[in-house]
Amino acid sequence: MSDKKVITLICERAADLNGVCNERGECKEVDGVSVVSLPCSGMIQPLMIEEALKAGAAGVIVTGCQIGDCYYREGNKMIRDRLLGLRPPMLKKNVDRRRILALWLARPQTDRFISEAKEFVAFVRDLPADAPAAKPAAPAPAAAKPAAPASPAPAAPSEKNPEVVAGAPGNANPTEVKEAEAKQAEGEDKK
Amino acid sequence: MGKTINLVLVVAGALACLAFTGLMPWAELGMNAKFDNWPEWLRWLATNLNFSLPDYAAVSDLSTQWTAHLKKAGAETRFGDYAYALVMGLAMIGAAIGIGAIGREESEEKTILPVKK
Amino acid sequence: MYTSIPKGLTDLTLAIEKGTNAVVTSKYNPFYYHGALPQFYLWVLFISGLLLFAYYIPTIENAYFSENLVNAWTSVNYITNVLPMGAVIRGIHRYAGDAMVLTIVLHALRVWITDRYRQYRWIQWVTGVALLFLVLFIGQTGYYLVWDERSLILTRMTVSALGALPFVGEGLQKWFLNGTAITNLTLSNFLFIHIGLSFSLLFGLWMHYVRMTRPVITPPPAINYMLTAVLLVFVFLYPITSGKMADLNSMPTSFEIDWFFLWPYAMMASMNLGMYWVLILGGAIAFTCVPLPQLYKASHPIESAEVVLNKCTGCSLCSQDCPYSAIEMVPAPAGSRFKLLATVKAYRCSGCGVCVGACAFDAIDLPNLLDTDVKAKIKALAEAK
Ligand code: HEM
Ligand code: SF4
Ligand code: SF4
Repeated sequence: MSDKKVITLICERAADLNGVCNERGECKEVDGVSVVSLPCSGMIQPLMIEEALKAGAAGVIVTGCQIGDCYYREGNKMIRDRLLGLRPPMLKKNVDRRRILALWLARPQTDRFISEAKEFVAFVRDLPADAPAAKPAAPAPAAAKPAAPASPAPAAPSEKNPEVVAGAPGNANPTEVKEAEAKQAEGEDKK
Repeated sequence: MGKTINLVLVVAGALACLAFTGLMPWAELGMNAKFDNWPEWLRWLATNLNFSLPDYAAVSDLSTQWTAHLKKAGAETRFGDYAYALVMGLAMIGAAIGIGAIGREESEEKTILPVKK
Repeated sequence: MYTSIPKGLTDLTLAIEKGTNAVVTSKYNPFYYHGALPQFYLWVLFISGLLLFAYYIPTIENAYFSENLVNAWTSVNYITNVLPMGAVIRGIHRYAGDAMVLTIVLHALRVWITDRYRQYRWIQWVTGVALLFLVLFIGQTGYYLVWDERSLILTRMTVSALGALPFVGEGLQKWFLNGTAITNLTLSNFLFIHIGLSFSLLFGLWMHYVRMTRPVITPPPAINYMLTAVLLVFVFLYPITSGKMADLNSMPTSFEIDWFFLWPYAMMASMNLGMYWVLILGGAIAFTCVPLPQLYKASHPIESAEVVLNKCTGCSLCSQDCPYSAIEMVPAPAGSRFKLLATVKAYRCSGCGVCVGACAFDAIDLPNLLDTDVKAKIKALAEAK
């Protein structure tokens, strides 16, 4: 059992967490859950999830409205399909899927969110730690680099399938990215 | 749990669909399936290949009830056509329930990502 | 967020929809096909209408057949009582029309209750109102076509109502009757209006849909079956009948009201015609103006997405995913290594950020919520003790 954070990336129209969060985004009802709200769950980039895990979060909860009821028509289906690897850009292969939970809850379903979040926090904190996450202090600086992956863009020729570009670390330019990912991959292998 | 309910619904929907589809020829014959009402080619086939055409005696009550309703509601002729519409509608409801039960995607308030090996 | 609508109403709707999801799952939740339902009934109307059209004769009387009087009423009578399945087709056409009005109203209510009616969506709202009024008028012309006593009263009422309009009234009367009195030409005009305007609905719908990527216009088969089945059951439960044949020399005074289409006539009958037009036109204008910016409180103004020119690779993922077709891929400027460049049409953009989620190169941003800031916040929260 660790005390690492679980980051919630949530659509501002989905389950209403305004009443249960403080102004810094920490959820008062569930210990360790911090909330970042966005106009639509469709805005969540797989990169944001990777960023959270690299920065030492124990897990990420993605929350959008009920599937079918996206205020912006299709956003929640987009991010769901991205998470499931059905739509580019996708999550990198070496991201630990167990640390990601997606919930699709309407605005009044705050309680459901809280109970799911509690369960998820307990589950994810009990997971054996990955190599990079074991000592959060050490990998953090290394992981900081890929946090701004803007720079690899020039390396990706436009004809290249964006799925490949986004999904395979081999295409990214800076060596730090490779190293950080190699470490993570090792960590996963050990489990 | 969900699986059993779905299975029950699929079976019930399919049976309803088949049952009501089975009534469609009867309705088309004007809710009266006596041998002389069947189209000539079927009668010919039935006589020559030696099989019998169903007479739908079991639903003759429906025929009287439905005709009475239609007369009261203002229809003048071709009551079988209305009956045809009804049984087709009911068969479609059966089909919709069956198809819906097959296509339902359960537990969708939560997506857990499959862990790749 | 849903600022301009009573919170209880939205929450109730969301709760009902969630409950429906629990039973039929979102894939079969009719609320999620709110726009597709009237569209489906429109197709049903087109097909059943085509079949009726094949046997319909748009005249009030035909000299050559005067013995057995082949006119609009007798042709409808023939369809209903002689033609195999004619009554069923007629019933389907009638009830599909009613169902279309009903589903349009539900659709409009849902987009309003769930706050999906304003800002960049104003085009959908305004064309929607026009479509609703068109559909109502087309339905009314359908009632004239039957040419029973009700048709006659409706025609006369319409003529006097049009006459009450200043300046244009007389012209409209002439257009409506296709002359100055009810003649054979009147009925062919009715048929032309009925069918012609029906096709113009397609143009209206194109405008309704043009700003939406992949509009949901086809419900899944199971829902289609249900929608059709409902019509068929009604055809049996309430068979369609015509009234007595219209007789120009008679003065029928009362008729049965179809509350989906004929409610304006109930209004006409109960007030003076000036008042009637004030209410109808005023109502239409008010309905159109619902999305006016003065009438709601937006939680924050929309700032449209912006492309970072030197980062965009022209992969076009954002333009595929944008829900309001707001991103156009244009040829990249000379000297760029890429072929295409994304450009945002600000007037269409909803500020939803779906394009940000679609871009693997951080090349598109919401000005009021940069993704670098989001990531920095995520990082800070994840590292917080
Ligand atoms: C002939 C009648 C109509 C048809 C067939 C129709 C159909 C549709 C369809 C298919 C959509 C797309 C839904 C989606 O994919 O998200 C839509 C959207 C919309 N409709 Fe209609 N509609 C009709 C009338 C109306 C009326 C009367 C109104 C309101 C007065 C209206 C307002 C809207 C609005 C505001 C949207 C945008 C919703 C969004 O962006 O999520 N429509 N309509
Ligand atoms: S997704 Fe990003 S890189 Fe691709 S076209 Fe859009 S802005 Fe450019
Ligand atoms: S924010 Fe992006 S995806 Fe959303 S409407 Fe604007 S351009 Fe389209």
